[in-house]
Amino acid sequence: MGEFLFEALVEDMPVSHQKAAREFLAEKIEEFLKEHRFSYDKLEVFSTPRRLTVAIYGELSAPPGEELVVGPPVNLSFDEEGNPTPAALGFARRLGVEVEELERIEKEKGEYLAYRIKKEAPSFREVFPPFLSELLARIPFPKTMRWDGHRFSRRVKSILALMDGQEVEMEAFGFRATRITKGHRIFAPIFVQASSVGDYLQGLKDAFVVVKNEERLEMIARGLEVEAQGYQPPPGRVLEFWRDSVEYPNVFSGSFPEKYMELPPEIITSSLEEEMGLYLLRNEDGPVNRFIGVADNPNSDLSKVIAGNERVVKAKLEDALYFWRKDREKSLEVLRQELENVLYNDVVGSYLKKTQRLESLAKGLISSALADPILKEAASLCKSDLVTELVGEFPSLQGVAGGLILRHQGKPEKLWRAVYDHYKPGGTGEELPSTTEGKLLSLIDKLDHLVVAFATGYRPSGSGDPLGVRRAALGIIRLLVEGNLQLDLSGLIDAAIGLLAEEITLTSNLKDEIEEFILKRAEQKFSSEGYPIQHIRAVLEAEGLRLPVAYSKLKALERIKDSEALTALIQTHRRIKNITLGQEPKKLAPERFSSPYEKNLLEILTTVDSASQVFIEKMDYLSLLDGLLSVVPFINDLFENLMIMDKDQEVRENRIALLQMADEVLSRFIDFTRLQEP
Amino acid sequence: MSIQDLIFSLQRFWAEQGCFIAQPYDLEVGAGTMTPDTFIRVLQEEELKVAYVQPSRRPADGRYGENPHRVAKHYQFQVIMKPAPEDIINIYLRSLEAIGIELTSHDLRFAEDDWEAPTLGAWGIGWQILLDGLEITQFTYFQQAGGRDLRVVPVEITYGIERLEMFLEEKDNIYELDWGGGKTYGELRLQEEKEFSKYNFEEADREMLFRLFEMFEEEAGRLLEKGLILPAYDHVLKCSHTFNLLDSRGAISVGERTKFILRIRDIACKIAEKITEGKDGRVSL
Repeated sequence: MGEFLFEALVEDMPVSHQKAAREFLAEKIEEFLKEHRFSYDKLEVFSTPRRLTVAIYGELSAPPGEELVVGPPVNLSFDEEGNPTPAALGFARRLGVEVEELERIEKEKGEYLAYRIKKEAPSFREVFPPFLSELLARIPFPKTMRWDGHRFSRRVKSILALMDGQEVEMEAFGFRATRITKGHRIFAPIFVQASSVGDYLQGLKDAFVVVKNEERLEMIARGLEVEAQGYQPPPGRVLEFWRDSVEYPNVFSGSFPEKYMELPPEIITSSLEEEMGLYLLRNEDGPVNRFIGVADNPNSDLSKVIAGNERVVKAKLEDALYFWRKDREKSLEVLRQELENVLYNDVVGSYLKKTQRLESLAKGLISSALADPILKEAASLCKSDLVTELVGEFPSLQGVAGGLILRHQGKPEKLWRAVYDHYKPGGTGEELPSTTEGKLLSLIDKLDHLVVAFATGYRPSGSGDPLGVRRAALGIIRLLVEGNLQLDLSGLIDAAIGLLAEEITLTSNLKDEIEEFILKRAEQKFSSEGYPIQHIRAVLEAEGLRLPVAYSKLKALERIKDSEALTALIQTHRRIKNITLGQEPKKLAPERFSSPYEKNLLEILTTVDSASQVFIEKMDYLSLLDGLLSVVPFINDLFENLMIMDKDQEVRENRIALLQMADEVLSRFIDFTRLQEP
Repeated sequence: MSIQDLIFSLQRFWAEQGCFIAQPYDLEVGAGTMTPDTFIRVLQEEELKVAYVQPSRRPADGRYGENPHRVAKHYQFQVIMKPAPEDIINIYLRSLEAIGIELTSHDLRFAEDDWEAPTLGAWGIGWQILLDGLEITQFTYFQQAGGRDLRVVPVEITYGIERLEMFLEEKDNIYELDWGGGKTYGELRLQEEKEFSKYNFEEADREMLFRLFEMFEEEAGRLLEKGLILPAYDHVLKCSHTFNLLDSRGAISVGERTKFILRIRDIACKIAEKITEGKDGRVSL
């Protein structure tokens, strides 16, 4: 079996750059291999801070190919006598063939002359290296370094490329590829020569570099079994950070003086995790004064590493304690006045003004009985912590710090929790606020952010969204759908726009743009969860910003999405629509029904209709859908046994009226014909 | 190893790498980057290898001598090499060995940290270097200074002297460090920290500082028009320090902060423009 190996040796790439780079390379290389029909068994991409590695295993051969060249339309290629025109002759001449050798192909706009140029089977060794060089330059890093006319995450030191044990001619970043790389910077700063992928991996392992990311993760897991036994395991985010920040992981643990446990664990975590990559240990009773970390050091004795980390942890916690003791005595009402000087947006002004808008939105929610009156106080105080020393030192504690201060001052849990949680959910997969008031505060905060951004002319671009409006929109969607908030989002947007209209001039289509933006994000979110796009569009079209309803319907449909029952329902609804389309509403006269088919259908429609009101009220769309499915056979019986378009006008109109009723009942869910292209 | 021995060792090491050892600049600056030996020289075309100690003042970091880690004035050891040598990271590792750090007993990390100096229109790509979790060095490849792309990329290595010394002495109180000559850091500097904290936070005359800022700013602009680049730059540094004092006195709101920074940056960028458009991009120093 053949194989290809590439490595770029780099000066330390940030952890935050690596995952996206690996995924980008894997995706684009796979596309390339498929496009050129190269046979391969496996593609692997690895990274450490110092290297980016690609290994491809398999024959790496491709069948001969052909390129289709399309020429002039056939009707312009031959004159009335069937002789080739100059257009046809010119096309043939350019290809160096006779007109007779050309073939005809059908295209959308008609028939065209065409020719298939035979191509030799591409050689992997020739076509892949230049593709890879060009691909490396396109990796979308969050930020790149520029040096000597090159750009990459960080400065590249050398490149290695091998195919079936042979060096490959390849150039990138001003280097020619060799078969040589280097071992661990401190523990084996030696050259490592590779003649195969296996050789490369083993040679580097001997030089204290574990190339495979998953292997480093396993080493960390084994280390945790020793160092963190009896404690809760660190979350995936921490494990991935450790994995991608070292070449040879070695788990260690340490402790700090008990007195710093006076600090809320959130603050200890910020000091330890964000700045030092250490994780605070927890047992069933909560956090303890111990931490674990991962060193890039293969030695069994890490005593100096531990002692050093313990000294730094102590110093940081001492600082944090100083800030916490100062901040926790401060009044958030007083701090709020300082927000006048903190700019939120250069058109609409300070954070103080923002909290005033949030207060107004909160009042609206309270008066429509959606929230506890304490939401207003939470809205007014939620940004005060921006001027605390804690948030100055640990920006990620925004919200949390305010909540902790309120809790320390003995304020009600509903109040402090709402402030504490109101930035949640920060990103995909992050948890929602735990209380209704927290969810509502988060919702109006994000909504105000979105409205202010759009009102001041900001639009996210394909590549960038510095104000994070996509994240805000996604947060709003998750709060509504997963947080199951029953509120009128459309009205809330109107209210948020209304508050801004008092300050600045707004464009008339602002609401439409915001609505469209949120719906587009909802479509993408639901689609990423695996729901069929036709279903998503149908429910969003029906429900608009009533996102929880749209989502419930989507979930109900999911249960029957591949079933014949759904296909039948769609077909039946289409048959109904084919008849009722364009018809004036007709009056139903049940007393004139002569057949059991009409009577039976009416009976079941009436039953389902009254039940549907209850289901809709309870948002039980599964039951509603079940009800509708039970109607389908009766409609079909009607179609199969009766002519709808009876000669008698009264009979005809009465049957149409019955189908109009059926349409109305089915449409309580959605227009099912939208689920499938006709 | 005392602080003075640490400085001697670093000077010796970098002199051996071909650096000239400059002396500290005689104005208040927030960092070694701000002195003309870095800011002005990285903008010029010539190759550059320089190292020096620079006392750096950050008024808002003062803690009245009560915090064992934070001080309003600390010492930086600054190295600039342009172009950045190909094996600069290895050279840096050897400098750590030269001051007695046995790297195989420790955990050395290059943690992402892209340095930025908004008042100078300067930024770079690089790392803070952590030794057993302690930040001992800022390592930066400059990308821009004075708002201008640097065609030849310089590397800046800034060692925190006190941090390194705390590591070497395994102490967790800055004032207990051995300066050399039988003196501790505290004996030589504690009084200064106490008095300057009081000055920086409580006593500095805001009205005077606002006036001074205006005067320095105006003077910098006037000198720049006369082509006196270095004196103009001195006044940028004076503006910058005055701004830092106003900041620690709480005289500048968050909104105004940005405006002050932009005012300083504006002159720094004009200076950069003058230097790079001069004949061969050179000024005589």
